[in-house]
Amino acid sequence: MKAIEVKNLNVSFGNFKVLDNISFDVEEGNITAVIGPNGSGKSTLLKAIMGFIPYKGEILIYGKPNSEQRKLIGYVPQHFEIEKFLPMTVKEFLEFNLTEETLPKKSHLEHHLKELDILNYKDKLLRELSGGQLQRVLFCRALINDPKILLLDEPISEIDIAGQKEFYEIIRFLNKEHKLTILLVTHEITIVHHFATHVICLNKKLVCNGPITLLFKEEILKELYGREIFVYPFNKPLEKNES
Amino acid sequence: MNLEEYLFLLKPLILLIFLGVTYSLLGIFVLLKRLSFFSDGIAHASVFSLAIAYILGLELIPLGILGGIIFSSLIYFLERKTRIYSDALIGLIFVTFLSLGIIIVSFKKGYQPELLNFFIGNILTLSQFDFYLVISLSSLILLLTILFFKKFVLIFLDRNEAILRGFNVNLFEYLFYLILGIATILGIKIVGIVLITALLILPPMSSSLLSRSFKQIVIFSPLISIFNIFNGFLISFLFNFPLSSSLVVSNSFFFFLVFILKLLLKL
Repeated sequence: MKAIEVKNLNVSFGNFKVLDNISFDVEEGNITAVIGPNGSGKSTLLKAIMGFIPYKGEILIYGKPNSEQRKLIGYVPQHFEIEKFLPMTVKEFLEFNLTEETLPKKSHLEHHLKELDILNYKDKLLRELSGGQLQRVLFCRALINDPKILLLDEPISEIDIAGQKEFYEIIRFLNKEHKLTILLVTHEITIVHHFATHVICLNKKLVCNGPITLLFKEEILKELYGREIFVYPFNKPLEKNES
Repeated sequence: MNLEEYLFLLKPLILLIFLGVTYSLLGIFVLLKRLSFFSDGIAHASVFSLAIAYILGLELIPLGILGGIIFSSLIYFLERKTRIYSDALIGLIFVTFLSLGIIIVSFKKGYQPELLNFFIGNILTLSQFDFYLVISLSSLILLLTILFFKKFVLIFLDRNEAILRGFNVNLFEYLFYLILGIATILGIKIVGIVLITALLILPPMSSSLLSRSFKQIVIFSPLISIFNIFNGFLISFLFNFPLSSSLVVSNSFFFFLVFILKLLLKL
């Protein structure tokens, strides 16, 4: 079943074209990495899917227009700015995100806090959390309204290496236990192939779309980044070094 | 001392408590969305509509409210239709309509003491009509704020998340701008254009220093506001200081006192 269908998507800011006639599908249950150089339109793609920006083309979520299906999407942003003056606890923050429809599921909150290992932080203030802890809280926020799709925009850019490992474990866990379809914008192509099932290569136009093994094709990465890129350990330059 | 002589102070006191509670809750959102310059801009731009009312001999507050609605809408519209930063747009509206207001007042010959009342307020200018109008409108604003409190929090915390949750974000943002624009005008006769923003932002600022949760900031903010209204009234009465300045100074001192105590006690 198709979780996301993007058909002939075009996004422009003034005269500047950011996405040029993009079409692809994401099957339910996939973990899809969206990769590409800076300014290639990766984050714009996520914003278009969520309907945050105007676009031309068609975006369907489970067969219906995205504007009708937004509630099926959970989103973890690249950057979340907390007002420093604001004394808001983790629990309060999460409860504010429960809608009238999901309020009866308030009891699920404790469960999500537990499975993301942040139950101990529930009375901590948001401003006192580390980058990794805040990341988990944002994951929890994305989960409390029972989404079917999780969109992640460079979610590890503000966490340390140890936190990154935990992050990938969470991604796998959510995909497996919550049956979530995951679309993840990332620069970490050397890591992402360990857990993503599919890849979308974007550079304003769609360069590739398919199984994650496409990442190991030098010609694709060269077309995408405009120069020779390799993904450890499947790279030729390293082989040359070893010999 | 004959207390009956001071009964005329009761009405402004009641009115200020109504306004203070409303402002202290709105102020949380003003800080959350960094809108303190917005209310300052609306207050100053309202000189334009107040000046028209003054020249034509009309009631000040209704025309001021009309100005508040127009300026809030104008800022909201310009924010979405231009790429210029919000504070620059507010600055544009602020200086343009303030200047136009001053030009309009200058059509009236001679010294204009009412001009000073616009800027620092004067409780003696408060009519019976003003009293009931301000009480009813501030009650309505308070009601709307409480009714949509959760929606405003979510929208101002994370606009994108609110869109995903299916809220009509544009509508609620516009509603808040209108509420804030109108609320700003309501206190102008007592506190004045220059100092009105202080009553919006100082109680939640002090409250944030004392709070360990959002629930606490919502409870403490109106309490601190009411405490400082009584305090400001007392200072004004005892030392014969202007009421508006006494209210602001009381709020500011309270903030610094809490701030210093927190530093000393290492809280």
